[in-house]
Amino acid sequence: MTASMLSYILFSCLLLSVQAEHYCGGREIIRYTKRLLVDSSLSCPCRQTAGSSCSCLPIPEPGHELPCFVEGTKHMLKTNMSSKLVLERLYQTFQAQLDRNLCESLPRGDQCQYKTKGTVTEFLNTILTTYQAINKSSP
Amino acid sequence: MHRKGDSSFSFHLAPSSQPLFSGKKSTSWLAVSKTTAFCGNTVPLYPWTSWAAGKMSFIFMCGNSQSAACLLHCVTLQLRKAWLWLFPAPAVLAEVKCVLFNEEYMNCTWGSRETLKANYSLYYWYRNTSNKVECKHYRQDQDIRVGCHFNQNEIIQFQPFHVLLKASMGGSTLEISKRMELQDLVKPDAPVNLTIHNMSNNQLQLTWATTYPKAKCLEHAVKYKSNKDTDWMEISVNGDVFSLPSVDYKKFYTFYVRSKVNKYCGRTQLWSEWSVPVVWGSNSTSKSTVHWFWIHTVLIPIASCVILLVLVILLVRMERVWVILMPRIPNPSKNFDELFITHNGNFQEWAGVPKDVVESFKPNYSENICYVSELPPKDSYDPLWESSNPPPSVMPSASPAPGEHSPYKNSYGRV
Repeated sequence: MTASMLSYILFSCLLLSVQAEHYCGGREIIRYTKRLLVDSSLSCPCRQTAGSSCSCLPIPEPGHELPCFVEGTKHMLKTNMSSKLVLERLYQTFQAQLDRNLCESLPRGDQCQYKTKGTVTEFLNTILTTYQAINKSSP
Repeated sequence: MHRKGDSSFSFHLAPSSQPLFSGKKSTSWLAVSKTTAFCGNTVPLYPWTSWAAGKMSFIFMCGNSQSAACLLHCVTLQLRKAWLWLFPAPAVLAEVKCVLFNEEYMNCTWGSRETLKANYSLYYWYRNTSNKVECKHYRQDQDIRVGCHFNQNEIIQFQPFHVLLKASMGGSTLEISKRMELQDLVKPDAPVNLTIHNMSNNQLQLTWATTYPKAKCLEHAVKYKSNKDTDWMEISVNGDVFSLPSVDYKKFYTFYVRSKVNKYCGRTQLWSEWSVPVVWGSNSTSKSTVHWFWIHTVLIPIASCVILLVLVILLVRMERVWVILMPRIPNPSKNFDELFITHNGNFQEWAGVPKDVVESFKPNYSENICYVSELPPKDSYDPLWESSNPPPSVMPSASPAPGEHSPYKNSYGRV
């Protein structure tokens, strides 16, 4: 292996690793989230008390989105939903971004911090808004 | 109305109750308020409503004042508030609508001079700020505030945007609050610089540009039709290029484009206005169509009629032309005048046949008539010769003279 080839490989790896840090997968996450929002069979992932609406998913504080998204999608996976495949994909994407710090635009917080809890729709809209903001601000 | 204790009052409204006041309520209440202005803080305290047994109750306290006038002032104020709460004036109600134009500025409006009768003030704040800020640039319709203009530095997207609209009229104030997401209220400007390129294989390519700062956040729609079509075709496009696979060079096409923020950057439903149109094709086809129409429907029929008329006239007036077009059936009788007049119908004489040839055709023999009949079957009926009519006898023919040549040497005269 010549020196030029080695330097080329090293440079490519460096470039890819730099790009990977900026990979937020915004478009993919937005597509999956919109598909879930359209799915009307989404049920409440929590035990619903009589007379109250289902509001048990964390609406994250700024800077703590990823841990809350992981926690929320994990919570949704526990219920039997028709879009389990999409949810699984979302959960794994959030978990990977959290573990490997793939998305620089999202701070790597350890714990989910929230002030309020919301319904499934409110939670999904929070995901949508967060990644739309990342998409719009990225070059 | 009831007085409970020293300073608490309640009054009830039931479906069948009589009106509390008669006459002009506003002037009577206002007059009472003015005369008791010295009451100071004797305003209704802890007002609340309850609904039970089919009637609504308004309950409040009027402080510790024992002055009858001040108490009356307090009661009047609360009654007025209750009245406005029950029967709000339609002119005060308004809904705040905001649109972010091309991410350059934003206009929030809540009505027009025709519908609004109150004095309005708008306050706004974002999630991360606690201070309410009043609108700095109101939009006015004569003397009524009908909207608020926001500059670019006052706009923050992807943060909850809260507005509080206060409408005050006649001393009372109504408040309307609303929460919005500004990234969902973006309306881009219409695309510009529409350009058509001629590609190979009868293909057209339409390109355009946008003044929106983030072109990657836009989706577009192209609307087009030709001069032969009745309806517009509308196609969604994600990039900034649109291709029309096959075009007819004889047609005249018109194209429009508009834009909207796509789902990767917001949830807006606001399309931009349609762009300035761009056209392609031969506009002269429309003129030639008109020419062909006149030629086919007017010129050709008239010319045909004129030519026909001329021909008819020529036919009638000029026999030479008539004879050429309608030749006479030839009459050969003239050729036979000599036969009938000179030779009395003697064809051989007229034809010039020699006399010896004529004589040779004359027969020099006589031939007897030979009667031939069919014999009937034996069982079916009687033969003919048993009838009264004897069978015809066969006359022997005269035997030809010896030496004479006869073509009928073996005569069939004998039976």
